[in-house]
Amino acid sequence: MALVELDFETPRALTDFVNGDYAVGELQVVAQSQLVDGNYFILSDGTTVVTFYYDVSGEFEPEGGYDAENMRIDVSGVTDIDEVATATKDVINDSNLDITADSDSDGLVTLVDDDKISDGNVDIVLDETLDPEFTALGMTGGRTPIAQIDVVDIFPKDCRWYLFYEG
Amino acid sequence: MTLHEASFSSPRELVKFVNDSIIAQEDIVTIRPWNGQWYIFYYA
Repeated sequence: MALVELDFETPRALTDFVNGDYAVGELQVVAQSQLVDGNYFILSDGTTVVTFYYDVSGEFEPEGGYDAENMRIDVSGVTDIDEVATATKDVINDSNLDITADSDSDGLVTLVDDDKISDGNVDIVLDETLDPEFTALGMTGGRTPIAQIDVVDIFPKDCRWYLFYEG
Repeated sequence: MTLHEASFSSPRELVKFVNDSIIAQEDIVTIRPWNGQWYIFYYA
């Protein structure tokens, strides 16, 4: 632990920083016709890592089979991009990850860590053989709150608010 | 517990807020005057 100093424009900005934030990310999925069996992406909440495999034919199984760390997204019965997004969202939410997913009709799957932790800032890994239109952002922006005992002082000077804390 | 901030135009208003809200002494991080206002930072 070392003493750290940061300054902010407003008291609210300082308070928001101290209280931490959730890591967020997103997946832009593609239509079923742009996927092939075994296309995958890897998500982590900083503790648990899960690989999600797309099963287009309804018969794909990865080497070692499916389990809590290797999950199946069955898109064999869907076609549209919003259906792929919904299937992706549902399987992420069924996983052991502390991440909550949501989806929209344009194929965007948004991801929010369930906890405010810096460890949640883990890059999403994409299968290199995925269609280039399948993209990912994050996970990023997660910040562990500063514990009360670690806040040393807060004071204003020259139109800025200064925070001193052990971190 | 998360950090909160509130501002008041006078120390008396600030003290009333603390007492009405029953904010414990150990949860008050600091009280500072700034730009004509009185600021309190506290955990709740």
